[in-house]
Amino acid sequence: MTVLNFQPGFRVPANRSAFQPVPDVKRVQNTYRPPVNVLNDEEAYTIQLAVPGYDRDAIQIEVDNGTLSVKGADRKATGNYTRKEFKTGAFERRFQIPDDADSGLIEAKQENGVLTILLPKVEAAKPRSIQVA
Amino acid sequence: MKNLKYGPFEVGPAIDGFFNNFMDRNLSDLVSAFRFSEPAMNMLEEADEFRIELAAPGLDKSDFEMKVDAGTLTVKVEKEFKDEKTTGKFKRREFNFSRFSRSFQLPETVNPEAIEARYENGVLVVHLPKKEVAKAQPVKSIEIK
Repeated sequence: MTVLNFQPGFRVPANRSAFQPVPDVKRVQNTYRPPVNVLNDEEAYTIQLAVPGYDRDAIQIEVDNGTLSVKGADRKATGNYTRKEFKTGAFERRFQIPDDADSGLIEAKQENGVLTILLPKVEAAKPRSIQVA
Repeated sequence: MKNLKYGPFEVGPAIDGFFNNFMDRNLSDLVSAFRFSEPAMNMLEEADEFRIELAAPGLDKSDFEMKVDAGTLTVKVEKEFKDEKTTGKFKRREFNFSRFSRSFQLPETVNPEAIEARYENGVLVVHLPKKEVAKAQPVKSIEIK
C-alpha cells in the first residue's frame, strides 16, 4: 500500500520519489504552483500542467541536475476584478526526474491551456520480450 | 456508478477513477479531485460589459454547452473519456475538467441577447454586455440660465 503523503514539501520515501515536488527552498517569492497530472506508462512519463491563459512564450522549461522546473511569467491581467478565483501571476513548479527517464529527450507542447511535457524512458527501462532460443 | 451526488460536490469521473485504484492513491488525490473538478472563475466589470473568465484547460470549444434561462447563465461540460489507455496510468492527478457545471445569476443590467463567449488557450471568456441604459453616462454639465 502506498505511503500516505499529504504534507506539502515533505521528503518522501524513495519508492514514491518520481515526480514528487522538490522542496521549494529556492522557489521565487510570489509564485504559485499550478495543478499537475502525471502519467506513467511503458514508454514515457507524461506531465500535464494546467496553465490556462498563458502564452507559449511566457513559459520556460529548464532541466538542471536531475530537476525539471517549469516557470511562467506574470500574465499582467489587469482590470476591475470583482471576483478572482484563479491566479494570473508568475508560477513555478519543480519535479525530480526519475532515473529511468531520458532527460536528453524531453519534449513539450502547449494546447488549450495544458502544457504537456513528455519524458521518454531510457531504452533499458522499457519492457521487452525475450525470445526463447 | 455515475451522477452520485454528495452534498455540494457533483461527483464525476475523477471520483470513479479514484475508487477504482483506491490503494494506489494518496490522500492529496482525493482532496484535489474535489477541489479541481470545478473550474475557477474570475469576474470583471468594465464600463460597457461584465466579463467572466473560466479557467478550464484541456478542453475543446465544442465540449462546452452554454445556455441562459430565466436570468441564469449555465456553462456545462460533459466529456466522455475516450482514451481508455490512459485510465489508471495516473501517478498523480490534480486537475480534471471533463465534467462540470457552473451557473451564474446574471445582473439585471446585462443584455442576455448579446452574450458572447470564446475559448482561447484554456480559458473560456464570456462577454456580458450591459444594456444601454445601464452603461455609465458621460458627465453632463447643466447650464444655469
